[in-house]
Amino acid sequence: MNTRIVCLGFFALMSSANAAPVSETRTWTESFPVTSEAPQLTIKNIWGNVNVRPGSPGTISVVIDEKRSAPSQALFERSLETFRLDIETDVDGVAIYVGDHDGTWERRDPCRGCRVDYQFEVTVPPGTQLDVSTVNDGRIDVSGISGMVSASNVNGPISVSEIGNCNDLDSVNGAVDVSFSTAPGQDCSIGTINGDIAISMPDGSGLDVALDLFNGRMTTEFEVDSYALPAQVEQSNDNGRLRYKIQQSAGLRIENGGPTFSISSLNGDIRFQKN
Amino acid sequence: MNTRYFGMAFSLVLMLSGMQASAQGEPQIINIPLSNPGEPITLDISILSARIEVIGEDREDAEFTVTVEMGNRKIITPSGAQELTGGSYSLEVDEDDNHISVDTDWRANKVNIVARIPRRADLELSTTIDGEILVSNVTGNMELENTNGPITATNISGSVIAEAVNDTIDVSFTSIDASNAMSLNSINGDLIFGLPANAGAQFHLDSSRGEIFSDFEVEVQTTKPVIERRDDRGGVEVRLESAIVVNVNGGGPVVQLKTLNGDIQIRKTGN
Repeated sequence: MNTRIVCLGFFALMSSANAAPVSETRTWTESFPVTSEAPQLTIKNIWGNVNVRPGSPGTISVVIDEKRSAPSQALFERSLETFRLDIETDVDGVAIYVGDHDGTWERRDPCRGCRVDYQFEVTVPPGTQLDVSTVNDGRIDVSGISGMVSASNVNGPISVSEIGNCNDLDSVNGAVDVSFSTAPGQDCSIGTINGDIAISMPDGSGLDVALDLFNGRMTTEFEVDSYALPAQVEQSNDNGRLRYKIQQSAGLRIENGGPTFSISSLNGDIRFQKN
Repeated sequence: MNTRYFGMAFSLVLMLSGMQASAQGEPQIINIPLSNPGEPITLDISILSARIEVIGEDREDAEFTVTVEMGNRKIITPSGAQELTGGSYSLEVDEDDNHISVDTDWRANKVNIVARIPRRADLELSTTIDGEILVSNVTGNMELENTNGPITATNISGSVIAEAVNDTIDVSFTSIDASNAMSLNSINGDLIFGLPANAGAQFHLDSSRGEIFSDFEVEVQTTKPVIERRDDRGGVEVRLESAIVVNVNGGGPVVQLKTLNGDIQIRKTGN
């Protein structure tokens, strides 16, 4: 009788020990030599920040701070397989994916309750092209990058300052702040659903803007002219289903015009301001 | 004194006309080839704020003329507020096996759609805010819903179920589908139902506060109040409904005309 109780107690102790939350933190640095004049940096994060600053030519350096947690040791072990860093590198650049490149981790066993926060502190050579993103509890912070910048976030802000050009800056529930060190020379798309958008440029910069807005106020420190953009009609055929789509944006010319920026916001304000 | 009143009135007229006449964008025309030309189509348009006009024609495709009212968005500039030109919207027209649907995204202001379609068509049209629904020369079964505007259907054949909460429903048939019951329903609007002089129908008329007019001689039927009992988890609901039932030309398909505050008119087509 006593033996049975002891055994039951032992198994209960074992299972409770097995079910105890497990967490682990570590920090390390990776350096990747690159020879391209315009190397590419891609980071696809899930939880955490991505910060990028200018660094030395020929090297992309990444300080990675990892905090991994799971509801149990077994799930912790599983998270090592599900949420791992998939790093691809060659002389043209570096790509770092949390999970894996093709996104199959989303279709695998979900590892419920597991979480791995990565904070990326990156320095890149001049002229590096960026494509960086995160999803939860993180911010994208890029500064001083002369190459083309693309950034996305789902539940946090994007701050991109002192850059040369952008390609696509997109958030769902966060603000997008972008400031250009020189007058932008390339087309760019900037969008958010529930955040404000602030665009800062040197005095005298010009843009043509296609605006898709719903709520929110717009302000500008530049002189602007409103103009009509033609409606775009697209036709597509999806397995016999014909689809015609008409879209039209409101047009705004800043100063004497320039590259076309497509800017969309549902519930946020939009500001064009001088540096 | 008079000059001042005239000036104030003139300003008021200008202000009101400015409010009413929202700028229209350029009309966009889309021609939709049908999967099965010559066969009947179904058309489904559901837009929050729209003037929807559907015209039946002898044709084997569908043509949509779409105009979207421009918004009144402003941008605050160093020299003051400036109005933006052009709307921000997206509108999609899909065709699949002779079923056509039209939908807009959340950004669209009031949309004006003129749809020219083959005469044989079943329609589902609805709008909610500041809308209007017009149908002409169509043969088929129609479901028309407009919360805050009128519904007008002329030279139609087939059947109609229409609901307009706050405005008039005016339908005028060249022939009616004897196999389908019909219903016009409003809270605050008049109901006008036109049918050919020789057509028969049985009308169930219910106007709480309005008057009922008929171009036809009617035979009033003896009726009892309808009592519906429904038991569910929230309790028992008993519904008592009493309508005037009249036959026109010996009776026919049931047509329910029900309004709370409006009048009901049964008209001979062409009157």
